[in-house]
This record gives sequence, structure tokens and C-alpha cells, in this order.
Amino acid sequence: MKRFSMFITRVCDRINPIVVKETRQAVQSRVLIGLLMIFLIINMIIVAITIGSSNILTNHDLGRAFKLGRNMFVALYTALCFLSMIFIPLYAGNKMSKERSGENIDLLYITTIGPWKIIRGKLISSIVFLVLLYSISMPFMTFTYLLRGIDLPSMFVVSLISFFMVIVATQLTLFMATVSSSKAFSSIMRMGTLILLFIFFSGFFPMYIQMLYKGIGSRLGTADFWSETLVVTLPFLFIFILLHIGSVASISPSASNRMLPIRIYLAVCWIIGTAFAILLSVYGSMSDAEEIWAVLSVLVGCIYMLFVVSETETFSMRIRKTIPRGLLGRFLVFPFYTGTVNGIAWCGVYIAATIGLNVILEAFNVFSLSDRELSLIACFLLYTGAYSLTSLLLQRTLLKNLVPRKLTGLITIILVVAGSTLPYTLTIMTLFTDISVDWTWPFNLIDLLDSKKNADKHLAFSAIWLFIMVTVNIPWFFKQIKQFKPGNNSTNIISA
Amino acid sequence: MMNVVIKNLNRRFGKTIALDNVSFEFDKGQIFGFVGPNGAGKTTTLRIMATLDEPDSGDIFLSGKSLTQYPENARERIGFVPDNLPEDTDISVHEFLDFFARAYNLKGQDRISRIEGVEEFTGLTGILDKKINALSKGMKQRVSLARALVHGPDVLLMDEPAAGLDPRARIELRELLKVLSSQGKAILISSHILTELTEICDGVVIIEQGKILETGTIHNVMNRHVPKQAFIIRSLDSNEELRKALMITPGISNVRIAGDEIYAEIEGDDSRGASLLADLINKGFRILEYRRHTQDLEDIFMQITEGKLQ
Repeated sequence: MKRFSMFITRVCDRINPIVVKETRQAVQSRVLIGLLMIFLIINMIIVAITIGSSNILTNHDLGRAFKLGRNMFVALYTALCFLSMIFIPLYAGNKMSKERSGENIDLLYITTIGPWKIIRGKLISSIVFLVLLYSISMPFMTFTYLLRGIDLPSMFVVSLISFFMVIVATQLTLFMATVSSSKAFSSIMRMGTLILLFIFFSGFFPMYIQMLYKGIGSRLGTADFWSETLVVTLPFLFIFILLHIGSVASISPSASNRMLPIRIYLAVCWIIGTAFAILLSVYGSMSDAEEIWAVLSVLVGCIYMLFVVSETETFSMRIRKTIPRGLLGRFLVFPFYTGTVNGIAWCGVYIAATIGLNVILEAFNVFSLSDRELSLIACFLLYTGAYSLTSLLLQRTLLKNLVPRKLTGLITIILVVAGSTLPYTLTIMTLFTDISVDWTWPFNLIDLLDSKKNADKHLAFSAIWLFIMVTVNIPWFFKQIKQFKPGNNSTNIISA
Repeated sequence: MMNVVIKNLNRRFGKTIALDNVSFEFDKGQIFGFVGPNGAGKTTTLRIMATLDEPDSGDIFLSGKSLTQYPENARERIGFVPDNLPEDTDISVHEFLDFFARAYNLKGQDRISRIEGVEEFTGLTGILDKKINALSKGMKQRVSLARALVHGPDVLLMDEPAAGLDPRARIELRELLKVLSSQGKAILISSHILTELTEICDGVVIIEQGKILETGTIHNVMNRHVPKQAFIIRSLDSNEELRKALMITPGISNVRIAGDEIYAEIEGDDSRGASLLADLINKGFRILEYRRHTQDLEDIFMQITEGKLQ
């Protein structure tokens, strides 16, 4: 007995402290307990209404009785999905956001608990609550199997997929909550999160229902089912891990090299993705592999650029002590360190590698992307680079005292929106005049997608614009590069 | 031996210089008061010491080991009581302390006994099941202190611990700090309530506009800034006549009437004070009260600082 209690104590000691605390808070929270009770009642009402409206007890309608199990499962599943996909991510995100904008988060940071453990703990405690929610629904869902009209594999697979989707959505809200500690910005992020969750829910829910109506059980043994599942799952796994690492980076001390895990992760994913795309193009039957790879690479590169320009331009003592002393070592690790110029260098390598590899693989007939697709990839990357460097220049010069560096990404978004919509705005403004506006405005990313004939013009313009921006920023780049040198470790220990 | 050395700390926030070459030190078993006007740089210094911020240059050494280079090690040795109180909802006092004990990686029986120890020391045993957000300010302050002590730190940093507390809670806090100091902890307290500090502090650090103006033991600081002895005299005779008599006495300065008393500063040692009393009696003044005026931290603080804000 003593051994058993010691074993239990050891197990309890290994549980993440955040999970212990959040679970304790959850079970003592009247709101959460009330919600679980309401959900239980909703489940009971659904069962009662579905059976009552089917008339099988009075009319003995076997046709309807055959569908009863499926109909009831769909109703129960809808309630579960809605609550779990909206409420759990929102609850986790709101809690994190409140803690982050409050001053008590400092208490957590001065303990020996690390940022990885904090984010992991937050996620696991949400999963615990998700399990509680599922455990309420499960007995009712199992009951639907007894009514017929639905098979166990379908129930299991659909429930499992939505379970994982809730975890991805929760990670998304945690990330949104960690991005900023400012109360005003947190409120905007909360609104954005809510909209994203509704999009998430309305996007996936019809898919699950379709899967249920088609039935999954018969397809489980086929290769097609698993390859499709893999194709859908892998991007979500990629996004989930990226959001997880991003959340950790957001709450890591600003004095640490917090961008390192993100850059390593993106680089590794890019290499693995490239290898997969090449393999599938050469040996596989998936003709779209290179397009998917190209679109994902461009998307990741463009989005990451917004974060890169918002990074700090000073290297803390803690970072400096890890910078290699040798020139070659310093050159190699430069793109992996936190810092605007370091980030720009990383993006530069990323853009060059993506465009360069595409051109090479085209030349060797490994990839068969069309010229338009290639110029689109190049244009998007070049435009994003040009827009980002322009916003960085604006922030450093005209807006230095108005906008902090961490909001430079926001300037980029504003510039992109303004640049792309200006011709349309002008068109609306000149509707009642005789002035005609040329929609092929060079800054226009929407035109880039629409117009086939102007692709070359866009390519030339974006390349020239980026070149000018790089040239204008060069003195500042060199100043930053000079700062990237190791700190002095000689004062490490002084006599006590 | 545990000592804390703050060496040439500099910290800027944009154009504002928050800390300008801040250096001071204190030892095991000492309580140091950290005083200065609002915006002087006290909280910035404490946050750097608690590893919540990093200096632009300079360092802090705990028994010779750099805090900026090894912040993870420092966290095990430092307990920090910030100026804001815990506001967590749906969690009891015991669960709150248990969470922080776990966060400091305390395990098994060690964790249980440490928590019980701080609960008893801070007098929380009667309210262990109460929810944190339902506690009074004084009780929250005790919980905050218990949280900072749960991992057994050698250094305790407190930011305005007495702010908002009633007199009883202040006295209790003072007693707890004295016990902690006798246990060998190095304590740094930032406070505006200077009279409180005078009673419990061994030393003081005075900071203004990010610069250290004065640092040392209370005794040394007093000696440096109170070179003359001051006396309070109360007489049955006219205060105006007594003032005139004092003003023409050699070695007496800064004579002023304060209510029904007279304040005067005397150059020289204790015997000079005694002979002044004899002189006054000989001159026929009927002296009711004659006592030494002891200057406190508040007087010195007012003398040294200029009340400049950043």
C-alpha cells in the first residue's frame, strides 16, 4: 500500500503544475460546472426530442427507425462540436490573454517553470476539459449505435477528427492570446479569434456531417482513405506545431533568442516538404504536389516576413554570450538569431531557395510548374519583401516616435491593403467623373492574381522595388550586422 | 556567505534613462531599504534582480555568480514580492501555494513540508481553504510573502510590501521580516513608508532619477548627513526670549520656534549639549523639557533627494 501511495505521489509530481492548477480552478468554477450541467441537459433533451419526433413508438415506421441512430448522433454531435470548437478554445484563449495582460503573469516567470511547460500546461488543461465534455456526450452517442443507422467506425473517426480539430483551434487561440500583452490589442485579437473560430467551425462541420452520411467504416481499409487523411492531417499538424512554437516564442523573455525554434522548425519543414514534393512529382501519382508545396512555401514566407520586421534590433547580453566568436560560425548562425536583420537574412535565404529551387527543378523537368505559376511565386515573395522593407524604413524614419518596432508588421499589412485597393478606391471615387483609372496599378496584389498579361510587369516592378528598398536600407543593415558580436564573459564570476 | 552585489546597472526605455550606473550591495542577514521618489528606478532595479528584465549593461552577482548570465539558477535563490497582490479566482490559499511549490520543482514530501512551513510561518493556517480573491489586503500580502518563501530563497525582494496595509498588518509584516533576517536571508525592501524602514532596516539605498544618491548602513548614512546634534527645548518662559538667547550663544545654529518648542543645532559632542543646558538654567530660563532630536530616514531622504520626476 505504501509503495502504491509512493508511486501515486511520484506520478502526481510529474504532472505539469499548470495542468494541476487549471484543473483545480476548472472544477471549482461555477461557470464551467454550470456549463457541463447545461450540456448534460441539452444531450438529454436532444435524445428525448429525436425519439419523440420519430413517431416510432406509435407508428412503427421502420424506415425512419433505421435512420434514427444517425439522426440522433448528428444532433448530439452538432451540440458537442459547437460547444467544444467554440467554447473550449475561447475559454483557453481568454484565460491566457487575461493572465498575459495582467501583472500576475510575472509571478509565473520568476519560477523555474519554462515557457514550453507553460504553453504545454495550458494546452493539456484544455484537453482535460475537452475530455470532460466528450465524456458527457459519449454515453448518449453510444446509445445511438443501438438505435442503428450509424456504424461504430464512423462515430469513432468523426469524433476523433473533431477532437483533434478542437486541439488545433485551442492552440490557435492560445497563440493569438500570447502575441501581445497590451489590453487593447488583446481585445482586438479576441474579436479576431472569435471570427476565426466561427470560420473554423462552419468550415469543418459540414465536412463531418458529409462523412457521417457517406459512412466511413467501409473505406477504412482502403489506401485512398488513408492517403487523403494524411494529406489533410499533415498541414494541420504543421500549423499546430508552428502555433505551439510561436506561442512559446511569444512568452519567452525578450532577452532570449526566442525566434530560434521557429526558424529551425520552418527550415526543417521546408526541407522535408521539398523532399516530399520532389518524391511525389517523380514517383508518385500526385500531380499537384509541387503546386501545394509552392503555395505553402510562398504563404509561410510571406506571413513570416510580417513577424520578422517587427523584431527587436538590439541584442541582449544573454543573446550576445551565445554568439560564436569565429567569423564563419557567426556568419552561419546569423539568420537563426532573434533580430530584424537576422530575420530578413533568414527570409532572404528562404526566398532565394524557394525561387532558385523552382527554377532548377523546372530546368531538370522534375517540376512542371507553368511560367505563370513560377512568376506568381516570385512576384508574391518579391512584393512581400518590398512591402516589408518599405514599412521597416517608414518605422525607422518617419514613424519612429509614433509606432513601436513590434507593430511594423501591422504597417506592412496596412501598406499591402492600401496598395492593392487604391485603384478600386479611386475607381469608386471617379465613378461620376470622366477620369479613367488603370487597374493594373503596380502595387496591386489582387491584380497579380487576376491578370495574366501583366505578370511580367509585376515581376519587373516588384524586383526593382525590392532592389531599391534593399539599397536604401543597406547602411542600416551593416550597422546591425556590426552589432552582432559575442558579449564579454570575463565578468562571469567575481569574488564573493 | 551569501551576498548580493549590484554592479553598474544601466537600463534605458527609449529616451528615458531608468537606471544610470546603479551599484550597491548587501549581505546575508541584512535588511536594506530601497527608497526614492516615484519613477526613480526602484521597480526597474527589482525587476532586473528578479530576472523579469535585463539590463543594457552591468550585472548582479549572487555570491559571485552572474544573474544575467544564469537567470535560471538565480530564480531558485530569489523570492520576489511584487507591488501587486494575487488576484487568482477559483483557487484556495493552499492550492495557490502548492502550485508555486510545484512550479519551483519541489517534489513529494519536501513540497508538502515546505508548504506547511510557510503557511505556519506567515500565519495562514486558519484560512487555507479560503479563495484567494476573497481575502483582505493584509491576508493577500501574507499569501504573497508565503509564495515568495515557498522554495526557501536566500534573497527576498519586496516591492512596496506595506502599501495599503492597516497598522496591525504592518507591524505583523515587520515582525515577520525581522525573523526572516535572523534566519540569514538578505532582504531588499522598496517602500515609501520611511518610518517603517527606519525601525527594521540595517541599511538603506537612496535612488533618484536612476542614480544612487546614498547607500550604506543606516548608522553610516545618518553620520554622514547629520554631522550636528539637534535639541528640542521647552521652557516656561517666552520662546522668543529663549530663541534670542540661543542665537547669540556661540556654536548654536539653525534656531527656530516650532509650536511651543524650540529647535536648535549644536556643534560638538554630547558634553556640549549638557553644558548648553547648564548655561540656559544659569541664565534663569525655567526649562521644562530638554531632549535630543533624532533624525530619521525621512529627514535624510528629504535632505538628499530633490523630488525630481522622470
